[in-house]
Amino acid sequence: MDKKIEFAVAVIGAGPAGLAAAAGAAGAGAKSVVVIDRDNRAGGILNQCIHDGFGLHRYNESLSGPEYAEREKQVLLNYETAGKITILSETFVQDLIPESYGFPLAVMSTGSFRIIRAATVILAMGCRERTAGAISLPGTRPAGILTAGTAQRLMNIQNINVGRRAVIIGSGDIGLIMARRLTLEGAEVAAVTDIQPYPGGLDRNVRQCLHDFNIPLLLSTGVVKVHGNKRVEGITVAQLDSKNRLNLQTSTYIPCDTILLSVGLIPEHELARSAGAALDPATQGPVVDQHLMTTVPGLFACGNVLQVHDLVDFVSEEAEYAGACAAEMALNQFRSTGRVIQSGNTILPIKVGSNLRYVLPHTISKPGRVTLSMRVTAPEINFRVCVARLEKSDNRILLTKTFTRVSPSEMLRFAFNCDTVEPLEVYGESF
Amino acid sequence: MNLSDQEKHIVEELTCIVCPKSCVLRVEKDKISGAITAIHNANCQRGTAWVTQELLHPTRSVCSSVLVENGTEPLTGVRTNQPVSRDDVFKVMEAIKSCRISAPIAIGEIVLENPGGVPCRVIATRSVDLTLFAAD
Ligand SMILES: Cc1cc2nc3c(=O)[nH]c(=O)nc-3n(C[C@H](O)[C@H](O)[C@H](O)COP(=O)(O)OP(=O)(O)OC[C@H]3O[C@@H](n4cnc5c(N)ncnc54)[C@H](O)[C@@H]3O)c2cc1C
Repeated sequence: MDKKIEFAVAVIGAGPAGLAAAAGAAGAGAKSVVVIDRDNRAGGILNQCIHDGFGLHRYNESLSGPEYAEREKQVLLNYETAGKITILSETFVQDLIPESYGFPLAVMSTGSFRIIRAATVILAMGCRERTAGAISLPGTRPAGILTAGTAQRLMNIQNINVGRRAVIIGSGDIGLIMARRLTLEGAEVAAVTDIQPYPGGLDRNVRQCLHDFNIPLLLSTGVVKVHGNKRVEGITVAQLDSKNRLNLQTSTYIPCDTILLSVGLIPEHELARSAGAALDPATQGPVVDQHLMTTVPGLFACGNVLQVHDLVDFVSEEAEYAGACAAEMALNQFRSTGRVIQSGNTILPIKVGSNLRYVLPHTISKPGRVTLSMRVTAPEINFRVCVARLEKSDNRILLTKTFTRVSPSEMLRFAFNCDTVEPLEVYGESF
Repeated sequence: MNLSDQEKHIVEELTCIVCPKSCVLRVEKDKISGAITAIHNANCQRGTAWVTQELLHPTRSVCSSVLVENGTEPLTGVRTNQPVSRDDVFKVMEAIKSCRISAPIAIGEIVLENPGGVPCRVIATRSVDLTLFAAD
């Protein structure tokens, strides 16, 4: 019976999250870490993000995506030469089954299938884009409708032009970045639309990607119909009324040959689900404790598979920590007992209070430093987030953080010294 | 002609990008000359400097791609090594579009000097290896 544990930590995905998780694990003393990616080049989504704006916090520089990835790969080099980290490229992790003894990973690479066994596993598979089907785009389905990320890959890696006149549905950062990219390449962007009354992406991107080129941003605007049989010929959009219904009196036809969708990202959570981890309906990623461990003991998550990030710097920070926690568990608990169990401490839930869409982590199992991440439900000015004891009492508030301005497009993240073992609530309010 | 104060000025709101605090600066400009007459809500000197530059002489980094011959991939990413005047962005783009380079390419390699006469360098941002297969 071959049940040898080959690796202390297995990391699935070699994007910025996977790379930093591996470095974090090796840095915490893990002597055998494997990073597995289906792609032939490490770096994940960063390889196609040729715009700059990456690394402002981590490297104090405005790098492009591939440059940021390169820096992260450099960090791993020493560990790789020392034989502590192995990167397996062009290898797809198909399944993940927790057993009483470590995790067997079913992996496929060209022409071969095998089982890799690890003491702990870190999920770092990133996320995928919502598609035309996911938002029930009305009208025909001709050629020329693609997600903004697919267009980005075609244009920036494969040198394939996507169209001459585009309308971009959704004003998330990827849509805004692509509006500028198309314009600089000589295509025309007729409009960017969003159903929300505020833009989905960062203010800086609205300014530099749309205003600079006089590209109209149509807010509170929905799609009435896509036109065209073989190829997209145009799109009809209309304003939404106060009840979010299309006001057809405002219908406008915009001729275009391309429609890009930038309508949200969903964590690539299939492996988490097949391993039996609980998912959070708000983030669509796994439920985690303060050590970023899922509800399956020994299975960790970080990066976009855990929560969709807007800044890669936070992805790296989060992933390093997940790596260190996974290594620690593999080195201590696993080595002495041959298994990984949930900590003996009581697990206290964090309640998501008013004005917040989600809060991470979901639970706290022991006092200590906890990094909280969250998103608000709507843009606000002069806003504060309070961390409080769930139990109503006079001095229930443990920490207050104030923000001049908050928006659902920007993740809020701060550390908190948790010295209590009572259930907590995190809520937001304007002041 | 006696314009009221409101008619003489236009107000623009900008989110400061100097630090993560993201202050929203309210800037009043003279309608005719475009000159900045007041900046409200700036909590520091750096914010005031940034908003003045952004409104009077905006600069931008230019990021794009360049065709690669004999490479394992058809493109490399490129960017200017420093921000250029926003008015020069399309001049830089023209130079980038007519440029072709040969693999191998290393990150940071200089692809163009003073593209379109604009004072800056265009550098490669993605490495591309030499292909082992003959060009098809
Ligand atoms: C278009 C776009 C623009 C962005 N712009 C900016 C910006 O300007 N500034 C900024 O700071 N941040 C930006 N971000 C955010 C940042 O890039 C992401 O948050 C970050 O890349 C996420 O890292 P990740 O490692 O979690 O995921 P990814 O980079 O997506 O990496 C996941 C990896 O997992 C692999 N994988 C998935 N499933 C499997 C499997 N089953 N088996 C093997 N391998 C698998 C994938 O091949 C991929 O390589 C942008 C993101 C996008 C999508």
